[in-house]
Amino acid sequence: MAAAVFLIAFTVAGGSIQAESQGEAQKPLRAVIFYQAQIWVQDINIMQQIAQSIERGLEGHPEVALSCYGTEDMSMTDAMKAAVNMKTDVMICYGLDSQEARRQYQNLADHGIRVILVDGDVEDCGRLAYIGTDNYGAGVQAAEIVLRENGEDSQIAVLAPNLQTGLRSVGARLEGFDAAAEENGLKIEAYCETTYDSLTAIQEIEALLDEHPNLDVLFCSEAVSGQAAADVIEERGRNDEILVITYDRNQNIEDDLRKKALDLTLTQNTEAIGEACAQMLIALAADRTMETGEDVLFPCIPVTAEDLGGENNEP
Amino acid sequence: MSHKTGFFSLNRRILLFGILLSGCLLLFFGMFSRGNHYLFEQQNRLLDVQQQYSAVVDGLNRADSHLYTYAQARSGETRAKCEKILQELDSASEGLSKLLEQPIFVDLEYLVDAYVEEAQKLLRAETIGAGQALILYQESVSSLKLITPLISQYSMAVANDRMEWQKKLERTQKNIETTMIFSAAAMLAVCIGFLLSFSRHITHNLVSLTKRAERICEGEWNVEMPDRPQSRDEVGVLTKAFYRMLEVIQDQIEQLKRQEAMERQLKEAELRAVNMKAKLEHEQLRTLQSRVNPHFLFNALNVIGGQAAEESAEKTLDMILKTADYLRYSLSNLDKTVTLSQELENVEDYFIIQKRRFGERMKFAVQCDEDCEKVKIPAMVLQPLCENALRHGVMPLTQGGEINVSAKRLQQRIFVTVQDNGLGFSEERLEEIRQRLKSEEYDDTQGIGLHNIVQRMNAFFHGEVECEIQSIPKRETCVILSFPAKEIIENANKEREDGDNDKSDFGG
Repeated sequence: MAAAVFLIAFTVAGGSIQAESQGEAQKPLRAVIFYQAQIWVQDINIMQQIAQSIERGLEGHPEVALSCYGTEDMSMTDAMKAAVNMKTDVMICYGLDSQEARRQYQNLADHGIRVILVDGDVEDCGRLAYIGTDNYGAGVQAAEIVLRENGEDSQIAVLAPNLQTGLRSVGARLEGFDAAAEENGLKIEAYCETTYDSLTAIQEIEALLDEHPNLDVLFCSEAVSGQAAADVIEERGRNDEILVITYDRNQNIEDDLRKKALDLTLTQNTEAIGEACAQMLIALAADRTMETGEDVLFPCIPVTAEDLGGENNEP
Repeated sequence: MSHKTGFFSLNRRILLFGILLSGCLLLFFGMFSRGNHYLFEQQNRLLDVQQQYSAVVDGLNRADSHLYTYAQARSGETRAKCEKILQELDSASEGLSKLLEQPIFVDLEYLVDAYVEEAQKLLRAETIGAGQALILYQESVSSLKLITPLISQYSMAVANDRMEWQKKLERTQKNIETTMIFSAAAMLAVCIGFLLSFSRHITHNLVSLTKRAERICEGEWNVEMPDRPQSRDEVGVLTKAFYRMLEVIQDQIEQLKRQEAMERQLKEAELRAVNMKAKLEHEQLRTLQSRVNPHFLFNALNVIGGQAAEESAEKTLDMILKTADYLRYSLSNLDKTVTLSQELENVEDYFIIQKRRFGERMKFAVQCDEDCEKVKIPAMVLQPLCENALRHGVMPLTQGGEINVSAKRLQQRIFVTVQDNGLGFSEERLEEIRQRLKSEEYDDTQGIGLHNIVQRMNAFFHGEVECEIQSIPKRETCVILSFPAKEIIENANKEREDGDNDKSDFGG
């Protein structure tokens, strides 16, 4: 009886002491995602949200090893270079259409690193797949809302940080909005470059409104310009006069929606994007020879003040 | 018979316990040592991680600094230092990757490899000019610049790892402590259990043995044996031997008791026989007193009988014959065994004689069932009863006295009843008679002789005789004698024949 007692005790002790053994298995698929740790807009960091969603989707899947890097002073092209040096298998990044970016896409391809684009697509960069928001559709969606809410006679201004941006998310929205506006006979009165700086954005918008006092629609292609427009509108007391549409969601945007400084925001489904991305990585881990993957597009989700409810403050 | 304790001896049990205890202690300390060793290993791992990471960060800084110096001066000493730093850097990043097993540290290892590769290009290019050297240095810096923005991330990861590992160590330490406590408690419980069981086993048996021994010392030999089987060790062997000895002694005591009882019974029987003999002698003496000269009596009776025959006095002759028969029976059968029919014949002769005396004052009847006739009894036991009935019952009456004597068989017992319709006895007298009948030492010489009869019968029938006396004052008295129906013996016929031969002396 005593021997049995000690055998049990020893087994318990051994079980608590022994480290988990790891079996000999195929090396995991190494993937890397970079996002800007600096917050352009308060609480909004789409890439970070997507990265977190991918991490959650990969829980319980040791066949994929994901490295998430949030950097403050590392450009996407540098991140791509770092990915090459890391000898990773897959890089997840947002679509950036610039000469340098295209060079780096090619560099990645030359080193056998598959690219999955999220948050903006560059179709011909040799990426494995695009999994993200249908930004073009989001632009069309915004134009249709303008048409529905304000009619054909709307006086529209289009706001973007950079009208010639290489950032494909914003670029695709602008393209979609332009195309849908033209199709539906909506006239775009003005284009305004707001930059990614909030103060600069406010100044530019004020100048825009001074120059075009009859504007009744502001299409803000991303959150910086959207929040700046809301501030200006509220200060001028023109909440009910101008329809303001923007993208993404944070506490400020929600407050602006409640104050009617913003009328609608089109939010991205980062959770679904991350989950789909995780599934793609899992599939790739199972079949390392995969050359192309299926694109997965997610529509934006319109959110108004009514949708916010009582105290739902989640972005 | 030898009792071998063998494997179950106390010595061996103690030895086994000692081995078990030593084994437990060894296990316990082994576990303790292993647990401590593991904790030390994990602590060392934490230190190693910190050390390796510091080496990486420091190595990157130093490598960049020395490479810059080398790019400008390109001395052999600087080159050697660079080589060494790069080697250490490479080793540290590899070590870190193995320790932490996180994807980002695998990335770091590759990033460092890439940087080291770029740096090696500069170190290997010994014959290039300063400008080219600086270009190569810049390329290494470009590679380094891909690492430095991520350093904060790596630092955070190392810090998180340290925190998690610390928590894990704390949990492990708690588990180890709990296991140690549990093991110690279990070991203690087992040891205490064993000791209790062992001591209880020894003391219980010894205490039980001692208690029984004490009772035996106080004279109580009838001590019960224990219910549970004895163990096979020395104590068990001792206990078994003690109880075996006790069994033997108890058997011997029983035997002695039985012997004593038998001897007592024999003595009682002897005493009864002696008493019987004394009583018989007394009866013989009484008879002897009346036995003046039997030959003279019989001769006298012969003469009288002859005279009666000559005078044709048939009644007188008949009386004389009856008297002779009675006297013959009484004198010759006093210490003999007769049949019930013979005894009743004698009783009838007695009544005939007495009838002549009392005439119509008395009547009598003697009846014997056929299945009783051959039953054995001592001689002259019924006549005294009838004499009593006549003397105490009928004689006081002036007329109408009746005496009935009957013998009946009921299963294996004979019931002889002597009933008279005389004066009877009072309740007190009757009770007195009954008490005397029960008394063993009553002297019946001055009484009615019933006690003597009962004793003689009991001596013959080994105490299986019952005598009941009933009486209704001024109405009747009934004496019922019951005894076993013994089978007739062969000598009974012979005795009867002897009696008939005596009768021929008086033949007519």
